[in-house]
Amino acid sequence: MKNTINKNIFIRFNPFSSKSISPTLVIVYFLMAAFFAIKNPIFISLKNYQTIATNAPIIGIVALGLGMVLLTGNVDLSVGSTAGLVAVISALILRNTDFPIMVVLLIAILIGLVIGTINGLIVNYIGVNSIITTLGMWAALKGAAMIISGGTIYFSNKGFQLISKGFAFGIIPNVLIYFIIIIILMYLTLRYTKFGRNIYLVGANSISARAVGINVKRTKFLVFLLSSSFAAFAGILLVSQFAGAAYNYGTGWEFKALTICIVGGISLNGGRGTYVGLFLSLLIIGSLSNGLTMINMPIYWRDFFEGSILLLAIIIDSFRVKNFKEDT
Amino acid sequence: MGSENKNLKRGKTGFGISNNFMLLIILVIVFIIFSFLDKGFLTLYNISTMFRNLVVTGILALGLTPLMISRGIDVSFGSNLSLATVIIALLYNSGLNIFLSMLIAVLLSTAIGLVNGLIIEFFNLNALIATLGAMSIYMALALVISNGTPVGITSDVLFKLSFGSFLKIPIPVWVFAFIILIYYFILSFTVAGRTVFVIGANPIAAFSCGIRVKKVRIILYGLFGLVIGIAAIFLTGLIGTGSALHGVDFLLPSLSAVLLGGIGLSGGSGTIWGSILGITIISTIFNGLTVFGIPSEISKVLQGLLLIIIVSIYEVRSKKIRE
Repeated sequence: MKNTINKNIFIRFNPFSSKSISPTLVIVYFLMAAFFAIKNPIFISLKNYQTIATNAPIIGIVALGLGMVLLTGNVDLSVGSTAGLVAVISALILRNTDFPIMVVLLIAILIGLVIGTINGLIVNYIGVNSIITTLGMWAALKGAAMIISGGTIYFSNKGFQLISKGFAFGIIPNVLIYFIIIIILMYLTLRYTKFGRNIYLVGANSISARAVGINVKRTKFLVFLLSSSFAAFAGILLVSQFAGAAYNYGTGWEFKALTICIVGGISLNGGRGTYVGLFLSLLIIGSLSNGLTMINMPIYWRDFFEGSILLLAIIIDSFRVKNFKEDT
Repeated sequence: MGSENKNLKRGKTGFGISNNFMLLIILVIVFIIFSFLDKGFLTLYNISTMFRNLVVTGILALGLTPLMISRGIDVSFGSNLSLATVIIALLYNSGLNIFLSMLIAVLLSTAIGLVNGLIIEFFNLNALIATLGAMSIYMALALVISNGTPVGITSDVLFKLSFGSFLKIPIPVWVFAFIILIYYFILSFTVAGRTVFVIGANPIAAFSCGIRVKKVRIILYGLFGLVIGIAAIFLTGLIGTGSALHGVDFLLPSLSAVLLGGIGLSGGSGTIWGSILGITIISTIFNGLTVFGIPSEISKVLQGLLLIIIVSIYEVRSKKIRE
C-alpha cells in the first residue's frame, strides 16, 4: 500500500447508505400530501407552500445543527432555550440601541457559540452525560430568557424584518434560501471533508476512531458549537419574523428538531444518517403541522400527534440500528 | 490491589467518609445557614410546612431511585404527574366520588408507568430518549383532556388529606415516611430488592444468574407509575388544581435529588437514604429561595445549573477514584 499522508482536508467519503431511508420518506411525503390535499385543496396552493416555506426552514436550521450532534452520538436538548434566549437578547438590543443588523446578527451567533462551548466542555471534558447537561442548560437558559425579557419585547425595524420576511425573486422566502445554503454546506462538509468523516466515525465507534488517531473529544466538542450557533441563528430569524420576542420562543423546538432528525434517518446511536434524509424529513414534518391545521385538528391533539411521531420514530430507529448491526 | 478495591467500595468519597454522611453534613450546614437568615426557620410550623411541600418531590424521587439503581430511567414522570392531577380534577368535577377519582388516577398513572417499561424493554430503546418522547406525548394528552386550562377542584377529603395533621405531623409526611419504609425494607431485606442492585451493577451477569432483568425493570417502571399517582393526589390537594403544566416543574428537582443522593446514571449502587437526603437538601434550598422572595425564574436557572454541577462533581470524583 502506498505510504502517503493525506494533508488535504478534502477527501472522498461515501457514508454507508445501504438502507437509505430517503425513498421511504419520499413515498410518505406524497401519501401525506395527497391525504391533506384531498381533505383541503388549499394545501397544495402556492400561498400555502409559501407559508410552509416561511416557517419550516427555521426549525430546519435548528435540526441541521442538532443532527451533527446526534451523528457523534450525543444529544443537545438546549437548542430551543438557546433560540429563545438569543431571540430575547436580540430583540432587546434592537429596541434599545441603534446597532446595525449585522452587529446584532454577530452578537447572536456569538451567544450561540458561548452556549455551545459550555455544553461542549461539560459533556466532553468533564464527562457528564449530554442529556443531563443539555437538560440542565435547557432549564437555565429558559430561566435566563424569562429574567431578561420580563414579558414580550416589541420593536420595529423594517430592514431587520426583511431578513426573514422577505422573498427572493418575489416568491421564494428568504429563510428557505438560508436553509438551502446551510444544508448544502453541511452536506458537503459531512461527505467531502475530514471533519465530516470524523463525525461519522466518532459516532459509529468512538473507540476505533480514537485508535486511528481522530481527536474524538475535539470532534464531539465542535459539533456542539455548530448546534448552538445554528439555534442562535434560528432565534434571530424568529425575532425578525415577529418583530419581537417573548420568553417562550423556542419552546418545544428541541423535540421538533429531534423528530426531524430521527425521522430523517439520523440514528440516536450516532454514526448513521445523511442530510438528504433530513431535508425530506423536514419537508414531511414541516408540512405536517400545516396540514393538521388545514384539516382543523384541534391544537392539543396536534401536539399529541407530533409527540407520537417522535416516539414512533425512536422505535423504528432502534429497529434500523439492530438490522444494520446484523448486516455487518 | 487491596487499596484499589477499598476505593471502589460503594459509597466511598474521596474523603474517606461515606457519601450519605457527607450529604448529612451538607444538610446540616444548609439548615444552619437558613436559620441564621430567617428567624422563623426552625419553628415546628415552618419545618412541617416545608416537609409538607417537599412530599411530592420526595415521593417522585423515591420512586425514581430503585429504577435508576437498576439502570433504568424515566423522565416522563412530570407529565405523568400532570396527567394524573388533571384526571382527578376532571373526574371529581364531573360528579364522581373523590376516592374513586383518586383510585382511577392512580391506576392510570401505574398503567402509564407499565406502558413506558414495556415499550422500553420490549424494543430495547435508550430509556432516557424514549421517555423524553413519552414526556411530550403524556403532556399533550393532559393538555387535550383539560383543554389547555387548569381545572380547579375543591374537595374536603382532598383538603384534609393534604393539609391535615396527625400528631402535629402533616398527613402527607406520614404517607411519605410509610413509602420510605416500604422501599427501604424491600430494597435492603428482600431478594427481590437485592436483584435490583444486581441488575444495575451488571445486567449481563444478572441475566446469566437467571434474573429476569426485563421483567424486574418493567415492574419498577410500573411501581414508579404507582407512586406518581400517589404524589398526584397530594399535588392536587396542595394546589387545588389539576393542571397539565405543573408537572414539568418537578422534573429537575426530583432528578437532581436522586443524582445528588448518589444514584448515578450508571446505576448499581445507592441507597434510599441518599435520595432522602438529596430531596431534603434540594427542597430546603429552593423552598428557602421562595421564602426570601427570589423570583421563580432565577430558581429555574439555579435548578438547571445545580443539576449540571451535581453530576459534574460526581463525574470528576469518580474519575479521580479511578486513577
